[in-house]
Formats: sequence, C-alpha cells, structure tokens
Amino acid sequence: MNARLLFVHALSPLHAGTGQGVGVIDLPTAREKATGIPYLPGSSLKGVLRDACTDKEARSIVFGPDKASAHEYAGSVQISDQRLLLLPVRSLVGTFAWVTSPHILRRFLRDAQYAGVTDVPSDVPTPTSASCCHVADSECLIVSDGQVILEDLDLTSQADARARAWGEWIGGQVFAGEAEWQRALVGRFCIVHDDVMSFLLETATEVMARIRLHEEAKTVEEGGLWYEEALPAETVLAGLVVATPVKAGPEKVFATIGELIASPLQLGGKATVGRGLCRLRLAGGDGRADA
Amino acid sequence: MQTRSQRYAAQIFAQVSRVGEEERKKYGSLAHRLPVLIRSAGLAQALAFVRAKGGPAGERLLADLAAAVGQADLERRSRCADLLEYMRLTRDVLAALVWYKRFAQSVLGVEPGADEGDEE
Amino acid sequence: MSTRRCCLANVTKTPTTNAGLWFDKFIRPQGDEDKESRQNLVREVAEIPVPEVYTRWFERWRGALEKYGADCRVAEVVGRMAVGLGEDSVLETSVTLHHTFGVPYIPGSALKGLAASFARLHLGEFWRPGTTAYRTLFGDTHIAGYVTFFDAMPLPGTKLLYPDVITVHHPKYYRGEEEPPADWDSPNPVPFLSATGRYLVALSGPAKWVEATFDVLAHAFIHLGIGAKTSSGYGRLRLEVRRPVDPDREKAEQLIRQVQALRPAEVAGRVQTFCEQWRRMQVGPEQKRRVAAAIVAKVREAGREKQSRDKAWYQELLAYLAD
Repeated sequence: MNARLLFVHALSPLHAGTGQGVGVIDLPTAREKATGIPYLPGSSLKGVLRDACTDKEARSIVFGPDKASAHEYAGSVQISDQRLLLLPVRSLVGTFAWVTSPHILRRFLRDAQYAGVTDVPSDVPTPTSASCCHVADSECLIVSDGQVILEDLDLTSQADARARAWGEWIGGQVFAGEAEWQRALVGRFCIVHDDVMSFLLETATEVMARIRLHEEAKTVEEGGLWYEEALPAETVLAGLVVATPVKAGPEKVFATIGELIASPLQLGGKATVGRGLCRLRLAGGDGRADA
Repeated sequence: MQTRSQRYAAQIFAQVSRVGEEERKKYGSLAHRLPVLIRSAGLAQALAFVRAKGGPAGERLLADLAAAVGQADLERRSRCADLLEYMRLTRDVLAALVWYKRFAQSVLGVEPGADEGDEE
Repeated sequence: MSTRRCCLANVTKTPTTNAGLWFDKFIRPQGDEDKESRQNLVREVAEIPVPEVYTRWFERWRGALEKYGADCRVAEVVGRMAVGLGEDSVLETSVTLHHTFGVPYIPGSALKGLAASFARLHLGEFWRPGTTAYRTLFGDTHIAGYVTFFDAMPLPGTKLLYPDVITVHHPKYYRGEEEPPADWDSPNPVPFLSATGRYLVALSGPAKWVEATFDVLAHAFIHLGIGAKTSSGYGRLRLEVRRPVDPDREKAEQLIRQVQALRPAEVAGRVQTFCEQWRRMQVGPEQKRRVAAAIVAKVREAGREKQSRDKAWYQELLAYLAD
C-alpha cells in the first residue's frame, strides 16, 4: 500500500478557519459536518508543502506542474484532511490532558490499517457511560482520588490496559525517540465518551478575543471586537499521505515529503500572528521504518 | 413541526423586543459577552456572574434564558445537575444565545464590544 | 453559597492545576460582598508554580522556532505587566494565560499591534499606514504582511505571576463626573494578576525587516508599553541585546560531551588524553572548571577513583576544582 500516516503536532494555536461562523464565534475553526471533528484541510497542507519545496523538479513531479500547465499531468501525492486525534484539555491535576474518544480512535484505526501499520492497538476501549473515562493507570498524572476533572466536568477514571497501549503507541509515533515526552503523553492520555468529546470540541477549544483600538483613546472601535477559535497548542492531528504514482514513484514522494517536514511548518490561517507552528511526522507504510 | 432553532428564534425575538430603553445597552452587551463567558467560566459560574453583576438587565436576561430553554430553575440546575444534564443545559443555553446575540444587534442596536453605558 | 457546580464545591487546587482553568472556573462565591474571594482567587493562581512539563516544552518551542528560521530575542519585564486585563472573566480583571500550560505570555497579535501602533504614532512619514514600509511589516486588508509575530512565551525558572491591585482612589472623578478628587473618597481596590519575567520574542520574515521590527519593538516596549495600565508604568520591557555565542563555552561543551559519551570500559584507556586536552584548553576559569568536573565525575562513575587517586593528572584536576 502506497500510503503513510501523517501526524501534525501543533506547537502554537492552530487556526484552520472556515470564514464566517454561524454560532457565537466569529471565526471558528473547520469541522467535519457530520461528526463535528476539527480538521485541517488536506488541500491546505498540500499547498504549504508545495510552497516549501524549493527543488523545482521534485516540486513538479511530486506535487504536479505549476498552475499554468496544470492540465498536463496530475501530481503524485494526495493528502487527506488531517483530523483531530488528541485535544489538549485543561485539567485540575497534571496541567492538561490529551483527550480522545472511541469514535476518533476507530476512525484513526482505519487510516492506520489503510497505511499498512501493523503494530497499532486494534482494541478501542469504550467508556461505559458519559461520566466515565479511561486512563493508563490509576496513579497517572491527571487522576486524583479516582477522578479526572477536565474544565468543570467531573469524570470517574478507570484504569485500562488498552488505554495505556494506545497512549504508548501514539506517544511512540508523535514523540519518537523522546522517552520523557512519551511518558508525559501516557500519563495525560484520556479516552472519554463520544458525547463528552463532542461537548469538549464545542466548548473547550481556545477562543481569543481580538480587538481593534482607537489610536489615541485606547477604546475599542465600533465592531472592533471579534472572537477567533483555534485548536490549542499540543493538539495532535492525523491523516494520510497517499502516493499515486504519475511522474514520481512512492519512494520519491515519501522521500520528498520526509525532507520537507524535517523542519517545522506553519499551517492554517492567521500566520502573521504566529498561529499554526507545527511539527510533522510520517509513519507506517509496508511495515518499514519511516524516513 | 418547528425545529429547536425556529422555536428559539420566535420566542427570543419576542423577549428581546420587550427590553426597555433603560436596560437596552446592558442587556445587549451581556448577550454578546455571555457565550464566551460560558466557554471560559462554565455555565454555572457564568450565570452566577450575570446574577451578581448584571443588575436588572441581567436578571431579565436570566429569566428570559430560563424561559427559552424551558428550565425555570436554570441557575440552580446549572449547579446541581449531573454531568449529562450539565452538558445538555450548556448546549441549550449556547444555542439560544446565538439568537440573543443576533437580536441584540438587530433589535437593540448593540454591537459586540460596545460600551455598556450603565456600568457602575 | 458556592457558585461552582455542586460536585466541585470542595475541590482545592494542587501544585499541578492548570492556572488558567483555576482562574476561569474555580472562583468561590461571586457577588458584591465578595472582595475576599476575588483576592483569594488571585493569590491562589499566583501560587501555582510553572509546570515542569512547560519547562521541557519551552526548549522544544525555542528549538522549533530556530529550525523554522525565526529570530529570537529575550525581553525582560521592567516592573510588572498586565496583558489581557479587559478580557471576559467572572473576575472582570482577566489575564492572558496560555491555554494549555497556564503560564502568562504576550500574544503575537499584541506584539504586532504594539509595533504597528508605535510606527503610526512615532515614526514619521515613512511609516504611515499605506506606505511600503508599513504594509510590508503589518500588511493591510489585501496582503498579509511579511513579518510573523509569534507568541512571546516566558522563559521558565522564575515565578511569573503576582497578585496585584488596582486602587481606584477617585472613582467619581475618573468617571468624568465633575467633582474633583478629594481625599475622603474611599479607596476601592480591585484585585488582578500581573506578570513579570523574561519572554522570548520571536519574529520571522526577511532578515532586514525582522531587524527593523525588533528596533521598533525595542522602542515601543519602553515608550508605549504593552497591555493595560501603561500610563501607570506597567508593561515596560527591555529587549536584551542578542547574547553573543560564547566561544569558550562552546569549546567546553564540546569536550564535556565527548567525556560524557565515554563508556565505563573506555575510561581507563582514554581519560588521560582528555586530561591532556583539558590542560591545553585556552578558556576562562569557569569553563575550565566545568570540564574538570565532568572528567572527575566520569572517573567516579566508572568506579576508577581508587586507581586514579595517586596519579598526577587526577590530582591536578582535583586541585583545580578545589581552588
């Protein structure tokens, strides 16, 4: 299978905007219509990678020809939407938790299997009720007196070996070679009920008030206050990179992408105020170690 | 059958239309601020804030909200509800506030970020 | 009566509580007569230490900025700083805390706004809105601007938040009513959180423009100040001169890394060579001492102190350290 998993780890708030909002936030982040899961559009990521590719030949064979001659042949890489995998949520203990849900993990599992990843845990634990959550163990960083308190939600924690396996596996991917961070992730890993997850996705993302001030008086201009939403720093997204050989074979495609993501990239909107600085990492593919 | 959103729209339009001039600015300003306040402070604390600091306009907004979401005892429920009910109440209030925000602009003529006027 | 959810009424903060979460959602009673609960909240938030995980995260952040090609300089708060005072909060006096880590920081948007404001007000014709210089730096409705202002995150290692009060001595006068200030107006202290510390200001873009922006910011930090209460002297920062790379330190680091990489079995055979290099090193005493300490530590770690104690080279190292 010519597909690899891609992980996007946000170091600063990530604004994958959609333009006008219908709710109470003026500039909300993009969400899947059916599920409400936030995502970074694959086309937007592909554009950033293409722009970062300074090798002209590699650029045209991997990403397709420049606009003027776009009809001549297609690019050799497709990038799926990068969907939220872990949402950092403020915690009463342990500063923050990396939160996910059974639905999100099962979707991710399909991607992982498509990419030929064989060592991913295949068993997704499901909290028995909305007020329960699964953690790696009862002594972990976010648990106190058998509870996990995220924002102002009180959850009963249940230690679960499958949750630990997922935390360890994701940590091994996102923080490859960084044992301390892998431990930090396992200790903060939390699987909540899908209903709680969708509530957190609606209410626990980052919202920033932006204002335009009158120059001298330092008072807010009429209509000069708006709210922008972002996925907070330490959000992890995941998706697929698929090689569809036209001019470049899979090896060339993955080698090129691998080089482009060796340095951090800036993704999503509001770049000039520092949003969306991300680390990216490829994983999987025929069971080979990635580049 | 009306959707929840349509039912909210009609009822909240009627409520906002009844707001008098002396409460107009404060009511509108609270309607704009409350959604973000609920996200940051949580439903229970945000409603308590409106009760403590909102004056007569705040009391009116709380009563209107309680009627709109069909929960006469909204403030107490927001504190005592279990997790599931708390999440549901929060969602209902946020959905209703979309309309309060809109009518604050169109009916009351209060823009987001506008001065509250009668601030102590 | 508590205004928290009932199930959280008795929750107390811990050393690893997210400071922003505690500030936003865990105030005790609110009302007109609750000055004490506000003061308590501010004090509690200021007590929460900088999370250990943030200390490690900051190194990643600095490394990522450098790899991305951003230019980083440290700015130190002179006195106190109040960023985000006007944001929505049940305390009515908010503070900008990092969503995930709860530490204070200066948003990139605030830095950009400050630089743009200083350029408009103080830099003359060349920097008016609409000029090439202004548009290049800050953009307009059509183009985005070439300089990126990253959030300025605090350097870990010091306490960052302090309880503070705004004392409004003459509320009526400041409200524009006509009564002049009189001493008998009772002071009305409003608690809030102010921040201090050193912050990593990071900009990226064409080198020339980044340099120019740092110059603008350096002046704006001193003359305008950032955040609220700037007329009371808050929000002044001093942009530190870029720390020159210390060649002595670099040399020492290099040798220390080699020493530390030795496997225990290699120590006996190779330690004297390192000692020789150490003796010849042309660096200041501080760096020389660090290397000596690293070698001695390695000898001890390898369990070879007994065998080395009588050797001249080992005694020389110990003598240097004892000096």
